[in-house]
Amino acid sequence: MKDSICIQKTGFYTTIQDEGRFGYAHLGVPESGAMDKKAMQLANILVNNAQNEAVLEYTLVGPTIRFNCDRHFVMTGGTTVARLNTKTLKNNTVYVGRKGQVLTLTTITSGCRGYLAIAGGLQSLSVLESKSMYVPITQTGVVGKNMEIPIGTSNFGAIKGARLKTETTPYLQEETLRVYKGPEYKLLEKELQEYINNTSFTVSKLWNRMAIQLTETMQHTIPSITTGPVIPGTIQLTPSGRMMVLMNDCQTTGGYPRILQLSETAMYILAQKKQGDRLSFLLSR
Amino acid sequence: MLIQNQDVHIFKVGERSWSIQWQVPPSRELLKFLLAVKDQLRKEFKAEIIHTYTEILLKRVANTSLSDAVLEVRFREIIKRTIPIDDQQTKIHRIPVCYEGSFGEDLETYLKEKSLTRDELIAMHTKPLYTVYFMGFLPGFPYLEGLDERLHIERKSVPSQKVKKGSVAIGGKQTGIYPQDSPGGWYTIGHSPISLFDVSKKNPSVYTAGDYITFYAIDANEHALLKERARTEDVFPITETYEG
Repeated sequence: MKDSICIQKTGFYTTIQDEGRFGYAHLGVPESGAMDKKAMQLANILVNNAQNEAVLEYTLVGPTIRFNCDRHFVMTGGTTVARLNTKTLKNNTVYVGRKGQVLTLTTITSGCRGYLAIAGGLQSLSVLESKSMYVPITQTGVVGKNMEIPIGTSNFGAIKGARLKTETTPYLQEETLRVYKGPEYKLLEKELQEYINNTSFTVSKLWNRMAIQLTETMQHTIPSITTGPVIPGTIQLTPSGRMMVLMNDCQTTGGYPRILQLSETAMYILAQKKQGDRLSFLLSR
Repeated sequence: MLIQNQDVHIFKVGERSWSIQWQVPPSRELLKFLLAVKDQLRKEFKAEIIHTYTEILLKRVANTSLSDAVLEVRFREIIKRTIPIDDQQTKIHRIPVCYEGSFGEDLETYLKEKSLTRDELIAMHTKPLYTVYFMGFLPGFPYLEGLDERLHIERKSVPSQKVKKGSVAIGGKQTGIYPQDSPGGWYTIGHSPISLFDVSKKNPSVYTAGDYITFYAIDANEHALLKERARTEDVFPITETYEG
């Protein structure tokens, strides 16, 4: 039998992600890829994978996995309550899973998205040059119960007890997002520009891989624009006055004014925010 | 004024992306020029490049040591010396559509709203060569220009939760075809049994920006035959080269 892992419980919302799908945006294909790319890349580095190897991205509650082979693995991103059989595990620390052992990831206690990288990488089907799940480009949008995911070969031998002295935790608590002006920022009235700079915003119940909408509304008079290009991190202002932050699975074009653009670091910070979390913007000049 | 000399706004988006906007209404002439500019930009910069009606976006320009000011000057130089692509090599994709009640769930409502007969709709909808301006909204969804004014209609007040793959629809001043199932606010007036976007292909989309699409009417029997064929083989539109 091929080396693999088997999903025994799916968790709340678990997907396979690599760095994303590039080269097809002009056909309307979303970028996809890990939401917290920093955590995803860190996970791959820790198990000596190439930076773009596919990992599991889980949300709020992680999956339960059975190893069908011996492999090193690591969890990064949101702080996850986890155990291997009965042994308690920590984030950012490399462990070895033995054939037949069960890795149980439960709640995320800080942040909201976790990443599980396995040495050798997840070798699921690549579609349009990426393994990132996105319906209808890939057949399924999330991992399913009993799904067997092939694992690549790896000659990684971790030094016993090796772990990363990590500075990754503080960003989970970070609430300030560095932003740049978007193409339609100039259309915002002066008071609204100030309001955006001086207000603490709240993540609404709409927070998924396509977009994160903020609860607070502002009265504005900016009309919709002729459909223009958008990318992950573009912040649109909806006709009802809400800010909509486009995330990795967003469309490639949109008709709402693009008032701000998140910095690349702010994307990782926001990727760890869930409903009710607070955040504010710091405008770069 | 020569299209190369039209005023453009160049705007940096985030750390590494650039938006180039033209201040003129969308036109086929501008589209052809945007496509030519994209070709030139692609030769020089490592970035995904998206365009819409009047804008080009270079997404995360990689590996450039040029300063912002120098980059902007370079973009302007490229625009100035780009020669628009002429129309002689344009493809036309003829797409079969069944405009019958069971294939367009909003057909009856649409005809009533517009006080048109089905034959009038078919005549008006199948006549134009529609230009594919760009793709967006869904993978492979074409933004088409050229719908007869008499067929314009406000979008539906309540969008459908599921518009079926292959549906041909009208909303506002636009017509389009859904390459996959999706929610949608346009009136579905017909259905095409052929596949337009196939992720197993290196070029997943049958058409590309700048191409023409035209529709031709088929009846329910022909629709069934094509659909049956599509189960075992690729059924594409008829593609020809424009001789205009």
